[in-house]
Amino acid sequence: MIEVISAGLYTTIQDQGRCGFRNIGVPTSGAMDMYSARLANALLDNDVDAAVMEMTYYGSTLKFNADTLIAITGANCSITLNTQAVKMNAVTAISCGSILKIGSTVKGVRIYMAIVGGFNYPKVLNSRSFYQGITPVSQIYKGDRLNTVNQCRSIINRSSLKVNNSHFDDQTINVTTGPEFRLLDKINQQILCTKTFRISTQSNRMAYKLEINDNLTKTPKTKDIITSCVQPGTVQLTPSGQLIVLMRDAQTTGGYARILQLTDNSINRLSQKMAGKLIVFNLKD
Amino acid sequence: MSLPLIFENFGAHAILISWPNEINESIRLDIFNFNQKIHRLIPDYIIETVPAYCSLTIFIKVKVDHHELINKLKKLYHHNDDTTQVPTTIWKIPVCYDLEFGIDLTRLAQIKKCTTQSIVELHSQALYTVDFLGFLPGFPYLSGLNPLLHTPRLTKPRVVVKKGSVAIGGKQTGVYPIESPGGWHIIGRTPISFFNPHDSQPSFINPLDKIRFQPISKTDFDYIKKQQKYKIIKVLQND
Repeated sequence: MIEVISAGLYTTIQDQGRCGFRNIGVPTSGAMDMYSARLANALLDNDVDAAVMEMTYYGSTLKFNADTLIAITGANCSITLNTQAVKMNAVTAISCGSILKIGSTVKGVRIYMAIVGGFNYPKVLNSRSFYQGITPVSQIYKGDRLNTVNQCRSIINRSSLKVNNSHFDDQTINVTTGPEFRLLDKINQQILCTKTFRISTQSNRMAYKLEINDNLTKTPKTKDIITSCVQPGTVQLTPSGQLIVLMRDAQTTGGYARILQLTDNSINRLSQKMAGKLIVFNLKD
Repeated sequence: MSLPLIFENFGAHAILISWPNEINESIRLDIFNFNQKIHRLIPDYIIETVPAYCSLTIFIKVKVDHHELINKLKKLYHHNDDTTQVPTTIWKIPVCYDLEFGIDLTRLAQIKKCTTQSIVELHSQALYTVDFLGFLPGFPYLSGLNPLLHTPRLTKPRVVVKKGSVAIGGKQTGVYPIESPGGWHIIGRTPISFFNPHDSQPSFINPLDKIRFQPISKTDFDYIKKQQKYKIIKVLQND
């Protein structure tokens, strides 16, 4: 069991997501940066779908009431165990009574903590990922007690992994065309694929809003469509010219034009971009 | 039916099938039947499907070749297996239209220059069709709203709309299955839960089912709400 001394800015439990219920409007959810979540589980030799903690911009302070092993991945931040510094992207042994402090992110947005065996929340509709209205809890708060699967395992690997910096630094977001891309004229298609866009502060697990980083260029405008399916990674364009990238908690259907679709890894990368950061879409054939 | 469909990739995990770009019942029935056929005949290729007004999106398993599946789907669409069907379920949904729940009824009556009672009558007399589900878990897109009740959405959406709220937005009406933000005009509340994540079938309604709203008193609302399992009245057309 883990006691939450402070929760951090926005902390949830996530796994690889909820499949099979989109036809009744259930979002897929799951870790925003699947790459980092999988890495944390892989370090501990957990199942790929084991539930991890997802922290946003500022991490939690936790008190452990049992010996265990953890691994922290994702956004770069300072971590201490009692008073000692803890390495990211590595397995850390925790002894009963220890206090782990995860600080604010220096590079990236989302921090992942996996624990040996995974966090033990009941699955709702095949997933442990928090979502308001589906899981009984939708956020972790101060004073919560987190259940874990009690598993003893010795440290498998003491070395830390090197994560490629491009995962956090690269401005390139790879996309394929969306169903309504062909409705834009050539000039606007070109604007989308060459201009730099800035991530708005109005960005969360549901969607990222983008602003064009150039006062001279007008964002393309388009008409609404007859409501149809959308998915994580769909780039929508509203009639007023607002660009919205749907993320893991996105609704299943929408009425805005779907002009681009992010690749899986680009969804992971985008989820680690802080508000204010710049991106460029790279259209792949 | 045999309509000119467009099959295309929608990212790496989905195929989007588009029907002619219009909203009508014969297209939705064609989508319904094609969707059933896909689930019945090629379940091994798919993870899930999402029907909408004039599209069907198929989320496919990782190892499935898109090109090969598109060819298979094209053949399947034209394959007649005489199992096409028209859903015939009508759900009678109790709704309490008291002003305590219908917080926008008075304002709506002012806009429409009529009484709140006539809004309730117009809303509860119609037979609605479930076009598909989306927007929120268990949220039914309903068509069939009397044009007299068509009302533009609120310019500033509410931060919280209570679960069970029955509302009007644009040309549509619907039920909020979970608490959520929302920009529709709230005219009543149902004690029936439209989304039950712990049930094996979290949503009891299916696309093309029909819904009729039945006005009930606050006393009935409280009574139904208290029952652990309320048996929703399901009737079959032509019964």
